Formats: sequence, structure tokens, C-alpha cells
Amino acid sequence: MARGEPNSQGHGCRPTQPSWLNYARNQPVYARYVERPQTLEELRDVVREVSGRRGRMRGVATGLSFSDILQTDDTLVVLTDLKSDAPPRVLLPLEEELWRDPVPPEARVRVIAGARIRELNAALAAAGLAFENLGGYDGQTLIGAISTSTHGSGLFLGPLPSMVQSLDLVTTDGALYRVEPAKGITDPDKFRRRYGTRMTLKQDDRWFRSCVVSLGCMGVIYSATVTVRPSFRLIERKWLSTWSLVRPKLAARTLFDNLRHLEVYLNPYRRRDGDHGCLVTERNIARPEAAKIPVPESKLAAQDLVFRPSTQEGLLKLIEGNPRLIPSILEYSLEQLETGPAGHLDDSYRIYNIGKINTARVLSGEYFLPMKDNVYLAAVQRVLDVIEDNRRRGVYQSAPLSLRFVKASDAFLSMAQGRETCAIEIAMFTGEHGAREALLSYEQALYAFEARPHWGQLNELTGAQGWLRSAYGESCQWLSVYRELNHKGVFDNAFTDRMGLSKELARCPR
Amino acid sequence: MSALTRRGVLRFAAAAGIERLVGGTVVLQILGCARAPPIRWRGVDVSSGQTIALEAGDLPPGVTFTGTYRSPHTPRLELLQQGALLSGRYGATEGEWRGLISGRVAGNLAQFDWRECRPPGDASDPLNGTGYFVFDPPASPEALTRLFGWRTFCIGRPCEQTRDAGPWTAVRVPK
Repeated sequence: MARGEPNSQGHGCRPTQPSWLNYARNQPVYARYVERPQTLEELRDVVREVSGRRGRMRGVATGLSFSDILQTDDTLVVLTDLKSDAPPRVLLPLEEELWRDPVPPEARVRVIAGARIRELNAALAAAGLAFENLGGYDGQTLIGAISTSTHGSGLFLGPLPSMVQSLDLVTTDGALYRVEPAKGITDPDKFRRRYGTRMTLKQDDRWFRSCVVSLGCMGVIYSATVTVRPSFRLIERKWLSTWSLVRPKLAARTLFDNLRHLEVYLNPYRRRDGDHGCLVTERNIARPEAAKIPVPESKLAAQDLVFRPSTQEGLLKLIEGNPRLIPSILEYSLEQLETGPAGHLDDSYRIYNIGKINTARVLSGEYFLPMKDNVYLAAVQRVLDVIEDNRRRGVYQSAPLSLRFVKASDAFLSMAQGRETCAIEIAMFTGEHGAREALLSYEQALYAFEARPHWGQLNELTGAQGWLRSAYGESCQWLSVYRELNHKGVFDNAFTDRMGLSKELARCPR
Repeated sequence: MSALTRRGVLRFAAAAGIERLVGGTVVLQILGCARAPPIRWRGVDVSSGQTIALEAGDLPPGVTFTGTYRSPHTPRLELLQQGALLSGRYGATEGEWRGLISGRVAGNLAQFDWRECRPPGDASDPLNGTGYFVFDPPASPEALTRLFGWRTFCIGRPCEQTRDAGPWTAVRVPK
């Protein structure tokens, strides 16, 4: 790996071209250096060099985040080239010979930082395995998704960090740690015999629960050993309903009965009958010998057409000129997604991936709300009210609200930490009139309902003094590990500055 | 399928040159001669993290399939080889045996039928089908013995068609 060239014009001025752009193109990064390590040693060299001069660095991969979490003005470390040598290049040796006896009967794989979920899905399929649960997009790296507590949907399934058993972390000065829970999978004696002083095994719940959702603030995660399961197929059905029918079933929890996955798309605008249209997506494990029922070719072709950049631009122009069409467009879109009673049946990872919709140029916020006492349902009503208020001011919400459900997580800064959670995701076209203001208005309204915004999606108000400790009851534990691993401030950036993490730590009880 | 019939099928397969590829594809290569390409397993080995290919061949002297294995696909697997006969059982947890296998061994290749109960509460007919394991002896004293295999479902009763169930791999638990 060649040392990255300084990306400046030598006058202390900001260069005209950003050195890197995220997927949504809303976060240009003007880094002084851009590094692309291809091996663990190259990664350690970068971290050592930046630590040595007390600089700052930030690890990024596919840039799915919309927030300033991926910003730096010093060294940007792009991790997508960090792959293993041999095909399929996304897995590392498991090192199962270092595990404690008896080995439990669960399947595991060890994933490298640059591995995208779609590459891992293919590799796992060729091993007869699959991830238990996934989000709707497979283009990002798994470790990037884990680090921000990305999730799928299923009240009995945790967010992605819940499948992590062990992490290899490169931190300040290039130090290398294997971080696991106190009763982690690795046998300390076997580990010591293999690695001596080259790597430190840290089996500590406080460290593990901090590092697994680290937001890039503890170092760079080189690899993760995660639990997987034998390949399986899912059957998915999507059916139209109305909020007045769905809401009481959510409140009574009867809609979750016998369903592994449940998602609800909600049209925020009322129909002529005064109700809101809904699309309910349910998924269950199919019988192992069941034949596939693929998505019809005509539907795939229609999706391909709708999500082409030119079509998207045309649609954006149309709604900019005629925003009153948006409620009808949303209703029509939900109708097009209905599957009919047979549904789709396919390999799990193909069902999880929601397809071309991922290519839409949107910005979004996602807000995680407690399921307890149905707080989230009151929050949905509040968002609907805000959207109605915004409409009176000429600002329209151009996508449905998406409701997904996540089991509680024990990672200190997971948005699902310590509580069953409903995630309300709200997207808007990038560049749409009033998009950022609208998203800010939702965020502002939802704090009254104990909302935690997704770290990787737009969030503006999380930096308010005391917010972190009020929203995350165990954040002081996370902050104490942050202080230990980031004692030179190497992994600080605009996000940690805005969040005032050092000041927050000072306010934690000793 | 009886062992005798199976042997007959294997002879036919050898004569016809049947090759199994990952994905369970059976390619019939009518070669017009008796030389047959061996069964070949190609897939991802999660232990090494690599794509590997293994061919059926000889088994090292004194080595058998007999042993207890852990498998990412059927967590516990016990195999017993007696001469050329193979029998076994597998299950999810201690004391819960869900499936049985029976078949024959030739060199480092075991070909078998399998039959598996449905999960509790599902009264449907058991699943069944065919499969194979290729035995991969440890490359060094520290390394583990592995099986790389594949299985197919039998659909219908009697079996009207087959469908791939996918890879079936296992690691022998050291004594």
C-alpha cells in the first residue's frame, strides 16, 4: 500500500474536490490523507502513524451512513480493500482450535472488515449457511453495519451486533486486541500459546458491549466472529390494509403471532375515507423442501424502470412541481408492492434484500422507540401530526413511514439497548424541497417519546448537553472504554466533537 | 434404495462418468468408456475461510469415518463405519436424535440415504433424501478431520423428484 498523498493545495485551504463521498453524496469528506490498507499489518501501520503524531483518523467502508459519523479532516481509512488473500476473500480462518471446550453446537464464521454483506451471502450459501437476520440492503460491509447497530425486523431477533461473538480490534498505537464477553469463545491458554504478546485477549463484558457498537470511536475492527445458521428459505407475503385495522393489532400484539418478521409501511397521508393506507410485510421460515416462488419478472422490470436515475429525477421534478400528488403516488406505490396470497419464497438472503429501492437517492432518519406501553404507537401518531402540519406549510413527506421491530440489545450504544424497540424510518428524496427541515422536525418531535436516532442516519440534536446519558442509561460504561482505547483522541472526529463525548465522560459518576 | 441396488447405480454412474458439482448438479458425461471422473466437492470451508475443491479418492490406511462430529448444518453427528457399511445419526442437541443415515463407503467417499423427523409439532412425513461425504484427513497433527458433503431432498412419496438441500460439512470432535 502506498502512503496516501496529502489531499490539499498547500495553502491550508479546503481543497475544491472532496477526497471521498458517501453513498447518498451528502457527506463530502475533505481528508488530508486517504489510506486503503489491504492487510492487517498495513492497517496497524496507519493507526500507529496517526497515533504517533497525535492525529485523527476515521475508518469508513461503503459509506452508507448519512450522518457526520464518517467525517474527518485528517486521515480517512477506507476499509473496502481489506480482504483475505484466498477466494472468496471475505472470510478468515475461524481459529476454532483456540475455542474453549466443549464447543457449542452453533455455526460460526469469521468475517473480515472489507466484506460486503452480498459477498458474504454468496460465500455462506456455498457453505450451506446463512445469516439469521439481515437488513434490507446488502451492499454495505457487515462490520460497518454492526458498528452502527443496523438491524432487520423481527421482535424475537436482535440487531446485527447480537450475532457477534468475538472482535479483532486495531486501536491506538496499532495495538491489537481480541475482544469478547467475559465468558467468550476463546480459551485464554490456547490463545496465549498461539499469539504470545502479539495480540491481547480481552474477555470483558464492559469492553465487549462497548466495542461491538463502537461507532468507529474505539479503533478499527479488523474482523468479527459471528453466529450463523444452516441455509434456510423464507416465505414473504405483503398485503394491503389500513392503519385503523393494523394499529389495534399492533397494540394488542396479535399481529406478531406466529410471525418471524413483521414490517409495516404506512402512508402518512389520509385517503378520501379518512384512513391511512398500510402495507404489511410478513415473513416466516419456509419448509426446507419447498420450491421457490420468485418475484415475477414483470415486477422486477417495473422496479428496474422506477428506480433508474433518470426516472427518479423525473419523479422528483414531478413532485416538486405538484407536491399535492404525493399522497396518491404513495398509495399507488404501496398497491404495487402487494404480493398476493402465495407471496414469494426464496433463499433467506434474497428475501431480506429489498432490491432496487435501495438505489433511490434518498436521505433518511430512523428513530428507535420503546415498545413498552405502546409508546411507539403514540409516537407514530405524533409524526403523522407533524407531517400534516408540514403539509400546511408546503413541505411534503415523499415516502411512507417504515415500521420495523427489534429485540433488545445489550450493546451499550445500540439503539435497541435494553428495550424491545420499534424503528420508524422516514426517507425523503435527496435535494427535495424542505427534506432536511422535515427530518429535523420529526427528530425534534420524537424526543418526547424517548426516541434514539440511528447513528448512521441523519441526526442533528443528539449533541445537546446531557442527551447521551439521558437516552442511553449505560453510556458512561461505553465512555469509560472510549477513554481507555482512545486516550490519544485518534478516533475523534466532527461527530464526537459535536456529541461532546469528552465532556459527557467528565459528567459520569466516578 | 438397497445397498445392492445402490452398488449397481454406482457402477452405472462410474461407467457413465457422473460428476457432482457444488449446487448438486449432476452432469452426465457419456464418455463411451469406463473411466469416470470422481465425485468432486467444491464450496466454501468456513474453518479455513476459503473455497476448496476435494475429489473422491483413497482413504489413508487405518482411517475410518467412525467418530463424533460437530456440524454447522446438523450440530451433532455420529458415524459408525463397519467395513464398507456406514451408519449414523444426527441431531440438534444432546439426547435428541432427529435424523438417521445409512450407506456405503468406498475410499474416502461415503454415499448414503438419510431420513429426518420434522421439528416437534409438525406431523408431516419425515424428510428424506440422498447425500455423500468426502473424508478430508488432517494435514498436520494440530489440524482437525473434516467431512465435506452434499445432500438432496426427495420430493414426493415415492420419490418423484429431488431438490438440493445444500452442503453438509462436519468437523470431527477430538477424543
